[in-house]
Amino acid sequence: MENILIGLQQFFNPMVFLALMGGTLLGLIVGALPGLNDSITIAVLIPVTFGMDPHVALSLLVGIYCASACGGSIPAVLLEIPGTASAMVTAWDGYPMTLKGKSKQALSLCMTSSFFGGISSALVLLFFAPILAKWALKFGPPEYFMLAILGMSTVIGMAGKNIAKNFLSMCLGLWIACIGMSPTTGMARYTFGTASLMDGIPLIPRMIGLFGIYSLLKMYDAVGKKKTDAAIASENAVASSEDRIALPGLSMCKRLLPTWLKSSFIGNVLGIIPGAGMTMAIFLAYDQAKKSNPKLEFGTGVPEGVAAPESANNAVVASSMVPLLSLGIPGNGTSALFLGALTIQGLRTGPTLFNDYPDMAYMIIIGFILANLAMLPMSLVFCKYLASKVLKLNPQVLAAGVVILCVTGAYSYMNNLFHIGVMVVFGLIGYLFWKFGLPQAPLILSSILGSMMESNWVSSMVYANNSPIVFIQRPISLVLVILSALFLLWPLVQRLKKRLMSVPQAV
Amino acid sequence: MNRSKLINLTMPAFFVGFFVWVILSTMSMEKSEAIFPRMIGVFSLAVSFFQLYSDLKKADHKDKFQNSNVLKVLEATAVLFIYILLMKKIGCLIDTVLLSFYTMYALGYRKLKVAVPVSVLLTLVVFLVFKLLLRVPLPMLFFDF
Amino acid sequence: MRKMIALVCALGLAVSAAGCSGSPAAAGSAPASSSQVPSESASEAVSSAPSAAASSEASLPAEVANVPAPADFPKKDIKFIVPFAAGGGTDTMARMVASAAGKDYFNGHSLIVENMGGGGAVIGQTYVAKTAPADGYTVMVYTSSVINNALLKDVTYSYEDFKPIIGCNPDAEIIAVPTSSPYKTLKDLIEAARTTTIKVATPGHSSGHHIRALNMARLMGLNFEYIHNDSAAMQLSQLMGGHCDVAFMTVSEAAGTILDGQAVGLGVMAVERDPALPDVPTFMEEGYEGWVDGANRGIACSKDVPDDIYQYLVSEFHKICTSDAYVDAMTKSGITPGAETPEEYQDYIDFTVDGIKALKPQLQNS
Repeated sequence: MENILIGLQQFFNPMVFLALMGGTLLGLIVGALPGLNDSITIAVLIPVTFGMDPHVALSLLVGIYCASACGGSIPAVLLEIPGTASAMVTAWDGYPMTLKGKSKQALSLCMTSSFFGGISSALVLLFFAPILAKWALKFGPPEYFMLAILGMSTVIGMAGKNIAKNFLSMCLGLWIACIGMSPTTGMARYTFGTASLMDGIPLIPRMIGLFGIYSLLKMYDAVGKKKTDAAIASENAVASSEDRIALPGLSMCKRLLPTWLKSSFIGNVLGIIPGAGMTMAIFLAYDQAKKSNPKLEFGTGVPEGVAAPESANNAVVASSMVPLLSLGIPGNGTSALFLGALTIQGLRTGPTLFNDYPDMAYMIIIGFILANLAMLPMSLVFCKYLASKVLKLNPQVLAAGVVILCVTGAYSYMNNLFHIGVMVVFGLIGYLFWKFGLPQAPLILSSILGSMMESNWVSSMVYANNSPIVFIQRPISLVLVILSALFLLWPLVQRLKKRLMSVPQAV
Repeated sequence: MNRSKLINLTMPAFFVGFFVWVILSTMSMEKSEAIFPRMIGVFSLAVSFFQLYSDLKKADHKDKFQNSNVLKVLEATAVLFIYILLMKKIGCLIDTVLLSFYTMYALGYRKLKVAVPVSVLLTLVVFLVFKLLLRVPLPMLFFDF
Repeated sequence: MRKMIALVCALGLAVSAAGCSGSPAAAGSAPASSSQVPSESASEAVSSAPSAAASSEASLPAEVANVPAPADFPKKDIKFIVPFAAGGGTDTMARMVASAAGKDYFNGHSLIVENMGGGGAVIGQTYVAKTAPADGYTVMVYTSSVINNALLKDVTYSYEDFKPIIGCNPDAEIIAVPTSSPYKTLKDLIEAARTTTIKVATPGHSSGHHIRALNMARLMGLNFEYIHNDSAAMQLSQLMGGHCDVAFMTVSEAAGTILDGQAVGLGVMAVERDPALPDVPTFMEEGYEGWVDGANRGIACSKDVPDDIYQYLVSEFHKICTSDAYVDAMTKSGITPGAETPEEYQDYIDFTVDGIKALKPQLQNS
């Protein structure tokens, strides 16, 4: 309690408070611009923070990290182009809502769900950090391998009626994960002699291609033939007068509460485990929401489909700081940048931070709570006066803006022209997938989880002297095995149930 | 066999060919690094054959490329690659202005009096954010400082 | 605006440091160069005191002549290439060098850090070795990855395409075990590894740590198996969680964890104990003579840079890396500052090259 007050006290310094607010606003903006994200912004700001007061510097970064995951959903809803990787799944139900002229409702849901997830993880960070961090350390190679399998098990239940096509998409993703240095021998696989492929195909340019360039190509595809989605969205946005930016009503909150709780739980758990990641959290949360609401048609603009990934991705944010603050292990790319920022300020993470600099440690934690509190009204105002006006723009002019952001964003990821090429190729892949009715989601997920699967399989075998029994010998791993089996069988059970139900009707 | 069916069959046929190549390529790899790609290759090949078989059997095929402007898509893709090639030759600024102008024009926006200033303006704003605020070393060529 | 504040602060620091830079004390405070890889040529010397470590010891404190600026150089800012993405340890170090330099060196021009990551650092290294004009306006952070890449991967450059300017961040290798480990001393571990298989966590295949572990196994006849993690952070979490028998790390990566009691350091491959970890003995203290090794970051440029410009760069970087601004910032962040002469740094490079060459068949098969 006393420590909480110490943390809160730091924000009485107007500079620290302003930095937090400025960071939150900046986070919303960079999140909302496709091609820009929190990691790029924080990486750029770290050398700048060198000369700042550590409290000001860190609260700025906290604000950015916190709000960018929320901002990323704005273009995902409005344009079907996620602003950050964390908003990929939001587009599946958010964009259909926009097509129906409910863009503002979808945005309001995003912001509220983000707030719910964000606050939940900030509280987890405040109260349970040390205990949970110890628990996260129990994850060895077998657990990581099973975690990847658990993530992959959602492929079966994904969009697309045709399971074979889901598998084809997944297989291509797994092959993409093989590109680059092999984890067992360090030798290059499928790089065709290109040094730029040695690290594999990075997620950011790939994602910009699969979403940004893909939606652009879809517009070209319709030129002179039919009306584009973008035009429909913009017409409906102008036409619908009832749609507005507002907090969801009581009945909606009641309806979404189970989804919020479940998704926040998933986000928090996966955030705490170092290296598990945002992507898995959003996919699992969406999959869970789908499984627990079998009556709803997900993918057609269901509020749950927006609420689940949005609360999950913001729940990852603060909880990913748990291993960093209590153990000194950065759990993902952005928290690794936080480690860099703390190091440059001469602060060491881990238990020492709480003992020697409780003001700093608790300031970061309280900062996450305050940033979330500020984020909700700020993002609603942002959406109301800026973002939702985007649909009123001419779609063709908007497309020009999007293409500039896409190419520049892909380039600035590593300052390499090669990644613009990667982006274009993946845009074309996305287009062809759409044309042939192949779902994109399994490709994205498996290309992220593929390398995690391979390297942890190899490590597990070294660790357990080549006996696969290790996966059921270790308690956490056993739980994950059971969960994956359940997830895999669930769609089959569902299908069976449907068939049994339909039999009497037929008779 | 009609035209739509032929088009639809290219997809599984491509995958069959691709994964045969993946399996063949693992032959020259070390044993430990070949396991994973080979596993993927064999599994995918089975799925691809299944897809090929079911597409062959299916009677009604819709032409997916009907009512869509494939030429325009190919043109746009080619323009993006040309953009990459030109980046080093004419610098990022001019290149990007041209790209954004092309995008608007090709999508059917013909008000030149708006399109030209807008593409210049958009490029300048993005340049301001990335080059000056975020210090991304964009290839500038003529306007470097 | 923020940039301005940062600049002003950095300038202030540098100006206040200018008064006392160049004093011999600064050079003396540079820690012992940890640059001895027991390689094939030195393997007989493992039991006796190795000559190379002794010779590089003797040449401290380093002498670098103050070279006047050549005509017309520098006319603009100098590009400082970091062949890794922003935010990592190497990037942090580079930014500290650039910030310590401010505008006080190179005739008032600055060092502009530019990240050119990807391809396991191959892209940035290729750029400096092959693409960038060799006019002295491009320098690069040099890590042992240059040597790894050149010897083990299919790249277009050789490690001999670079001229070292300075070695500015020595970081000794440390062997750490989980707290639950049955091995309490280095001797326990090494004796056990002679008969049973020990599982070693590394931050990745053919990383410097993997190579040093292979080297140790080869020279001492130990049975190591390797668990390659994707990053140093994952390696650390596996060590703390007890999912490996031992981890090879550098002192700056492991110091925090060991001080917090989340892992135990068994031995440091350095000439003397590290000031950050006074309780961890060195290999030599434990009776393993000649084991001085570790990571050692430096700065290098293309070998084609004209000699007068090169000498000027050497002298300016020496001034920066012995300045109080640099030493203080590094020490405060728990990173070891250093200022080795090009010759000393070349020794480190040569030893690393010999070590990797000797291990090449093993690295490409294990």
